[in-house]
Amino acid sequence: MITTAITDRLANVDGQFGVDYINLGTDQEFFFGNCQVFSGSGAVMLMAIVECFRAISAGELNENKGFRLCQKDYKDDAEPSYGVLKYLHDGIEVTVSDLYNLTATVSDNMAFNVLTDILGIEKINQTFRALGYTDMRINRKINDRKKMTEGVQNYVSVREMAALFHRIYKGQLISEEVSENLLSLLKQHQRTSMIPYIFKETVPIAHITGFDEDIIIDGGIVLTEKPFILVMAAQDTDIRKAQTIMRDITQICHLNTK
Amino acid sequence: MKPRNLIIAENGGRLLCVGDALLSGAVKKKLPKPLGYGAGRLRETDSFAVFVPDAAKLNEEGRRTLQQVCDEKLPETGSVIAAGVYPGGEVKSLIKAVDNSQTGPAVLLDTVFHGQRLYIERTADKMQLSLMFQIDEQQVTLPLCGDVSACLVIFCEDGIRFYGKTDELSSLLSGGDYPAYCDEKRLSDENIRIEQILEEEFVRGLESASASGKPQIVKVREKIYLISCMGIPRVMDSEKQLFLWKAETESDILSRLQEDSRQYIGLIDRRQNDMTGGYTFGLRGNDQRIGRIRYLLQKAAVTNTTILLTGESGTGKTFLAKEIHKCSSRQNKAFVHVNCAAIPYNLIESELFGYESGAFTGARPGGKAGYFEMARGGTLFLDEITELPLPLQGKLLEVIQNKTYFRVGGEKKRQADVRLIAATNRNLPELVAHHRFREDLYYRINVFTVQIPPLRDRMNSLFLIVADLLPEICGRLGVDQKVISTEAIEKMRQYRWPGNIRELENVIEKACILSNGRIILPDDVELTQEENTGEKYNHTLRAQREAFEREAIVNALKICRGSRIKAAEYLDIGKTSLFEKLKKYGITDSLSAESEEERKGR
Repeated sequence: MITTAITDRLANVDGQFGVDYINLGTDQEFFFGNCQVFSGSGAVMLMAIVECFRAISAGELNENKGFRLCQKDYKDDAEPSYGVLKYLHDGIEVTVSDLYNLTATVSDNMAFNVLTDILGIEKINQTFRALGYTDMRINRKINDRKKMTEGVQNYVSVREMAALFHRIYKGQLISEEVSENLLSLLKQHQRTSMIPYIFKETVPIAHITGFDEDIIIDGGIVLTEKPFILVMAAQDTDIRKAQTIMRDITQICHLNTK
Repeated sequence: MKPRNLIIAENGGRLLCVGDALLSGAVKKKLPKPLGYGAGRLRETDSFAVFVPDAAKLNEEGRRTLQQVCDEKLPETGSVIAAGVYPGGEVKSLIKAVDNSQTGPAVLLDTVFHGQRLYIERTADKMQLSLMFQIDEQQVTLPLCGDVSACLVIFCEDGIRFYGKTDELSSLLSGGDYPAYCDEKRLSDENIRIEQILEEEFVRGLESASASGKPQIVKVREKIYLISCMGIPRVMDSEKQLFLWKAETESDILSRLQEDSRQYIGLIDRRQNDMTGGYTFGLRGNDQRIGRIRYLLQKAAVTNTTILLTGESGTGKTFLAKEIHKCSSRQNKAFVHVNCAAIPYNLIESELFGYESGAFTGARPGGKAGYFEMARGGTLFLDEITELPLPLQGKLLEVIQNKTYFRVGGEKKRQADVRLIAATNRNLPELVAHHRFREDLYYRINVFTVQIPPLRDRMNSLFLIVADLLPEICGRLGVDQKVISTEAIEKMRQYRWPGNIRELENVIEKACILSNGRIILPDDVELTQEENTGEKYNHTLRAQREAFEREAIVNALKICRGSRIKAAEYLDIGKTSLFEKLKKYGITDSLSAESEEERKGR
């Protein structure tokens, strides 16, 4: 039923669309759509957060370490730009935990960019390769205009994100403690226009989203009584309308899992 | 015609009839098998699902509208399912081509659309193909027979709002109205109970109304209903009894009041027309006096006779003069209204009769036509004729007698071809007696006199008069049409109305502005304090008769210069009788002072 339901709902969608669903009760997994690797937009922040937690867990990074931020070091012409750090006073001191909290909760572009500087882009990619994820990759900072004009993009994979969340759920990503901490953090994500839209506020959903002019992503774990994982991405299509499809697909998955 | 607001059931609770107006308000939302739907239209944010059996047969307009609302192109041929949200643009529509290679039972669509489960299945029952739509937990089935453009279901989070086969897809998907529908076949074939279909609060209201025999007020989903019950015994079967309830909302009751009011006025008009043979002259009322006036005017209006209208200020003399003109043979010519009190004394002659060039300093070159000339062939209405100066009254008399006149400063005799209507609120005989109005002119204009009664003497017709005035006043103010409550009419009846109809219009206008709803209540009716002294105007026959008698005696005494004996003769009653009445009505000695001197003199 879920296959026909989602297929029917995607019947006349244009552009690229990818959906990965895992029923956490049965471990049954379905993929739908015509694409599974998408430009990362904000969803790529998940990679920095995972690496950050790994580094903290390994003792390589102190989450309470402070950094004094100079705005000119992180010039971001995008207006508006997601997040709040860009709009706070120059010279503000933030800790590593501030940065990963801002990144996870409000997709703070500046916080992510600072984290990538602290962690190192290549180190992040290396960690993900080591975890078995080869399609997801960070190649630049958010709103790095120079690299963007050169066509340099970040990438996420719908399937790899679903697998990643599956390991988080099972407590198998890096360690049980790291998985648990990631789960708690991702429940705080504040954008609710897609997966969380059909649920009451009391339903915990650990997820991350990505938005850009022509791309929209939402992926995470829906922690209803019968939980499931759902990762969806759409590109080169009407983003507003894609959101409405994503809400319906979330509903379909929820009904299928119940 | 099916009654809109009725519920009919057997005394066991089996539902037999649901009025169209109650299908959307009183029937439970999201019945698994809807019994029908109320009248409505596709609204913003409503969803719809359409099954088109053959896209090639869809008419151009239907195709264009469906594509526009869905913001998608439809296939040219084959069966198609489309789902969208009106008016389109926000939600990604769903377009699915249906495999026509199979024509038997099959699931055509099973998904979630705009947050609701949307399931469409082609089913077969006794060789009859049908289309079953399921929206969340609700199901409707439409037979797939006949040559029809499309099967359409409209729904929202409150459930299915419309379902049916249609050839008017374009109209419906453009927000066109659809009528109510009730599946009466199901009502007759199945034993459907009222509590299965109607909202719980509503059923409680029905039960209370039938148990108590009194109307009940219930609130169902933000609508308030007045439910009244009538039990109807079934004649042929003494065991079963039918119950009939009427459930009306505030707007239903208001509409009914307005309709009843219109029908009542229509009834009265018909009766009046039967009595008087036609034109009513705008005189509302069903009392004998008004009937008599209508009769007189109908006789006089069609002739050229001079008519004198008398009555208090504000009783509608000007209005009546216009009505007389409209009914006359001169209706296509001018109606000229002259307010004799408003024209300066030194100008009135030239205004009435015109003047020639050079007639006086400041006279317009070429002269000017007067009112008589302007009204030539038509009607000249001399309002407040008693205000004409005495010298001019003589000239007027001559015009009326000889039908000729001269302009001021003119030498050419001109023909006066007018129908004259005069009006006054003064007591003409009294003015004549005091030499303030020419007696000969009085007799010339007093050919056909119509005395218009004051409003206080027409309280029986007050409702009709108000009902007549209300639509025009509401229209002029730009407010919704209102009706007046019986309590407000009762309050008005207690008032003396010194300003008559004119004052009534002002009071109604103010009440329309003050009224919060569609019904004018007593508090909205503000009456002048000094007239509304708390001593209520007594409109009983006895009180009116006594008032008339007192006035007649006072007038007689004035005419007879206070002489009681002469007044008694004038009134054709005995002296003793007059003296008793003087005492009864408290008519002061000052009015009859001369009679005392007379007696002393004798």
